[in-house]
Amino acid sequence: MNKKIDELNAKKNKLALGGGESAIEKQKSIGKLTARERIDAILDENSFDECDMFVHHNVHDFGMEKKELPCDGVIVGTGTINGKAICIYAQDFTVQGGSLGLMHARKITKVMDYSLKMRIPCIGINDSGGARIQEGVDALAGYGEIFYRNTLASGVVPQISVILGPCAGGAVYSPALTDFVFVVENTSKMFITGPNVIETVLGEKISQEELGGAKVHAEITGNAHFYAKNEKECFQQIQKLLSFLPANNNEQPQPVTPQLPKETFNIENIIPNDPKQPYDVKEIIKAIADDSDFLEVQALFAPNIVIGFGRIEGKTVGFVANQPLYLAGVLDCDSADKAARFIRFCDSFNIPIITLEDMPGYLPGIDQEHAGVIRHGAKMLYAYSEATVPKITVILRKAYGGGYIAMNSKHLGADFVFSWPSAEIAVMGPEGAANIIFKSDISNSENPTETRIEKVKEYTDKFANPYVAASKGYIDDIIEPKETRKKLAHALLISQSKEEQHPKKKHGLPPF
Amino acid sequence: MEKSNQIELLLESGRYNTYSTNKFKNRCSYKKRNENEVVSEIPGTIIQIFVNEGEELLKGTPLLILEAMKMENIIRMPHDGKIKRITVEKGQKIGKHTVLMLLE
Repeated sequence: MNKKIDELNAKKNKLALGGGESAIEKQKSIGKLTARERIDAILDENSFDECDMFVHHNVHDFGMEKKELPCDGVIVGTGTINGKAICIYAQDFTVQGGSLGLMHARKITKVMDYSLKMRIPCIGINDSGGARIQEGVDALAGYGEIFYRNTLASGVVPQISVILGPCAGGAVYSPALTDFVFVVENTSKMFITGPNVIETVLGEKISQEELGGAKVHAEITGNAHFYAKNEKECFQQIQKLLSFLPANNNEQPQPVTPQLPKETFNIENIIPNDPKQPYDVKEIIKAIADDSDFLEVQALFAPNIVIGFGRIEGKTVGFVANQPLYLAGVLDCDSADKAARFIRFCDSFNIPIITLEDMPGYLPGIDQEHAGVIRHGAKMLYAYSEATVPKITVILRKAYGGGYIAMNSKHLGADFVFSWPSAEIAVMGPEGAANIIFKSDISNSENPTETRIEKVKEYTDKFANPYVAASKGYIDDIIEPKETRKKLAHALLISQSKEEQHPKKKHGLPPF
Repeated sequence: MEKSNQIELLLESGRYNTYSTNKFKNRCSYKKRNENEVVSEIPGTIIQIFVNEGEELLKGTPLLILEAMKMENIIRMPHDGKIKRITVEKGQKIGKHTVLMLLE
């Protein structure tokens, strides 16, 4: 028996070395950890339980029959993060460039099946040169089987993708189907067609970093949700994110000990009196959230809307807030798309949504109209209307026109809508409205400029406030800023056992 | 916050002091299409030209073949008209949005 055990250990030790020492050295020389180191760094200490270590590819062409590919280039298994069960896989770039063949994919789909069956989150670490060309259509089959499971698991268990190397061609679509994509500066590269193809076909030169580096996906494309300077920071972000989430769609996020917001955030003094001046809405979120702790999602992409997780009285909530600091907090294609997906995530995983509204309207522009701001904007209406988790809105300042409706108004099914006394709820901004309503008064006046100013003031006094909307019951209460947290906590308590049924259907048709 | 990104944004509801984003700064402005320009929609190589300057042609007449993405694309007259000038030659590699011919 001892001899057999020694033999087993020798085999395992050899497989654990992956592509061998020189390949590992190469991986490290460019600042990357190995697949096993990554798994160990994300999971609780010694919690990783590996499976399918002995899986071997089944290819007999192009000399592959002589090739040993340890673990077939991917490490898979289960473990815990903060004591909570998790499925995980990590592609091993030291083994044939982490290339994906059929057995490599089957190892991944095995843990994905565990994740779905056991109803626990799945983390995928991508570091692969792409399809293993020698395997032909089998490699494509492998990708397809992964995408299929990503889709089935969507909205059932949280799915996380971590891009820690190249992720090109078909490989990018698994991350794109998952809920959160993490990227690391200088390490992550994602694209459908790489710089070489673009240069050959189009004659355009571009570096990998400029085409599909971490910053590009975090800031321009919106494909990435979290951006980190290094792998260590990235792993901390993953652990933090998971602390806010339930293991699956039938569970509630685990509550923690409630904490008051930090006193440095004084909610009374954040908003400037002049409605045309900007401020940072994240300060308001921090003045409301437990311990002023806010985990922002997609911080760099479409910063004119802020989304992310926090807690109130120890329970996870999702914040959606217009950000006047950027582009005056307008809604546009990107911000609507960003918010809509986040709202649907929260709704899928039983996370109440708190909307903080201060938006001056939609971004005007030919580029916006032609980019489909109608279609993208509609995603937000759809997401809010469809969501059945507790939905609470606080109108901070401007709520004009279509934006008033879109930002979780009572009319889209909000459970509670509160407003600060600084709110201006109107069909459009006072200047635009006065120009239309009092058009003839202004043009017939002997002093049109003065009349316009007069009429704008008249409109502002009469309509640019929360009282008209409150008189119709569209707003439940007008509150002082300092009451906000208490009001929200109470609303959340009241809606704890909320049940709302929408018509049964196979699935709806959101405008995507 | 970078001062250089500070902007005054004009919306329907008024002017706002705010900050710009890189994506907003780099957005493309809309250009109206000139109907008398035949323009490439895809980069590629001109492998054949069927017509000559000065010819009067009907809408739909093949003008040239642009090989792109391993496909031979026939570019045709967008409307009835006369070829004023041909701005490319056989064998030439061209980029996207290159003017191929001027019509009148």
